[in-house]
Amino acid sequence: MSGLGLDSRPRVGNLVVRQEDEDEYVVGDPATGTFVVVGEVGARLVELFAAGRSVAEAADEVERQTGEPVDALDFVEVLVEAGVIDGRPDDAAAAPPARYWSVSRIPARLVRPLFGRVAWTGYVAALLATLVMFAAEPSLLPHYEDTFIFPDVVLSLLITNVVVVVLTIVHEVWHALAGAAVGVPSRLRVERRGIFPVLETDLTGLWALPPERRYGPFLAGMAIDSVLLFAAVAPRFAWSRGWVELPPELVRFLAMVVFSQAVKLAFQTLAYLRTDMYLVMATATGCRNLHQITRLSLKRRIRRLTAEENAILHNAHGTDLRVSRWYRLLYLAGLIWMIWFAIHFLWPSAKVTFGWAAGVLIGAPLASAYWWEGIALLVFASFNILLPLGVIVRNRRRTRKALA
Amino acid sequence: MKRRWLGTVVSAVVTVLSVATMSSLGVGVLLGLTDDTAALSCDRVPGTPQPFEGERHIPYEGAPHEPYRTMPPTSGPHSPRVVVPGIYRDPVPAELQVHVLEHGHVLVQYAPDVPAADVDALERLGRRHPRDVVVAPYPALGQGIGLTGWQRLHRLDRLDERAVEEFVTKVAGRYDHGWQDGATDCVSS
Repeated sequence: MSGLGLDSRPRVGNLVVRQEDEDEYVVGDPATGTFVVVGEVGARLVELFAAGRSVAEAADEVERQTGEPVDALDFVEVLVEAGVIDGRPDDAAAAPPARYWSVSRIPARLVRPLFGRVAWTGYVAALLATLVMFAAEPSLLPHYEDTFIFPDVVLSLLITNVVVVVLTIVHEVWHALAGAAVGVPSRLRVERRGIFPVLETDLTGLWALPPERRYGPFLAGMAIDSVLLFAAVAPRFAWSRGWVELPPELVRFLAMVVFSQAVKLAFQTLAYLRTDMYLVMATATGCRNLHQITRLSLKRRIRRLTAEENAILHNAHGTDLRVSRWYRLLYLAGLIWMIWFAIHFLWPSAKVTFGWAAGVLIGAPLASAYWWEGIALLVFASFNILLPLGVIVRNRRRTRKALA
Repeated sequence: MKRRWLGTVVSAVVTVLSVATMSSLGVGVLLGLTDDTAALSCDRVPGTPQPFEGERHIPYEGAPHEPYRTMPPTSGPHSPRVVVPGIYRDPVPAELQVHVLEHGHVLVQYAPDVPAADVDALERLGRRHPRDVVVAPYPALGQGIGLTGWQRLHRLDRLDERAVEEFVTKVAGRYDHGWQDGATDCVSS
């Protein structure tokens, strides 16, 4: 129960109201990324609150216009419960501002040129030029050996992972900057996609914008990935043709960058892992909650759904249900592929890594540099395996805390 | 209507990309299983075959092991560390050389007496075969150029680009943790 009454004037100045469908409006705060879908009457009430009307005044006004009585206080309670508006009395101090990633608070005018027509032409040109170079010189295509830039396996893994983390942060920064360009702040968080740990920029506020304005921020990460991929491939292409001289160490470093970027870009195409391409597809098809609806519609075939899950499925939008009929095939194929990938690639690499480390620990002199290298490799491999599990545990704890 | 059309096109593209990414690894595995390219017969492989000296990993460089019977080595105990194909300006330790060969690559090594122009030519050749060749100095050779593959050795007193090119194209990939496509070591037959 909020502290608002019929005489209250709800704080809605920060809310946006966007028509999504014929009698469907998205109401929410882009700054917090909290949205609800309401009918036309709800949207009208928010407009009246924004114009300074109290709950009772807004209810009277809507009743005059539609000829039907409306429970505006109940509607306000729904908005408060959903976290869309602050439920404290209007004379109370405003809620503390949400905490955002600082790069996403850069003024829009400063970052808009990075996502203008010229910039996007550059991003696409970088990707196409890279594909042409790969076709002309197939030896430039990434190979797993490219990660071994030094004979020292641990040093190679360490540098490769530092580079991957830095490149991933650049990818996320570009999402955040693209969000800032359209006035949507964001947060950075560690998440999990299936068996893969990921960094993720939360751009939920984008759903307040019309679909055509969401594509840029969703594709921004892949755009900068394409530029970085081009920047790593082009010098190697010129070097392989004998056009430029480069230190051999730099050539190997660039090969590792190409491998990392190519893997990242390939990962983004796996839509069923809710990657950037999933968001693009969900936006283009007009879906609201495609992934969850698909997951639940499959889950109910093998397990009983909870009351809450049943309600989500029951209230699912028609578009989500329609698209999920074929998307579930991709989703299932993706799950099978992940199991196959784990059996054919993750498990063998884990066996090699742990076997290598064990061999060193048993054979190398105790506490020698090689022995410590074995320890470092064990710790590193364990961290990679345990991180997704850690995210699962963290998310379950958060859910339990939220329900308590 | 426009949105429905856009949704269909984007969905098709995203699905194709997803399937292409997933299948790219599978296709690689399947191609490996179905590849019926026969290996070259022993009489067409350049260099001389060398006896098998083992393939076990030693725990660290410097760990004691049986001495290699060839210079440079062509098989035997080796370091688990990895040297990837490319150009190197420092010698690659013998224990690492064997690991390079175990991965199916070829080593092109030169002694201090090889002229700088010839070293440039060898490095250019390395650039043309960036997935197959390690080019590096190896003073222990004493003189000339040493070409090695797994259980394969070819020594040259001076640069013969055609011979090097032939060795690289015909020896690389014959062995990769096992003989490939019906290839043999050409010793035990």
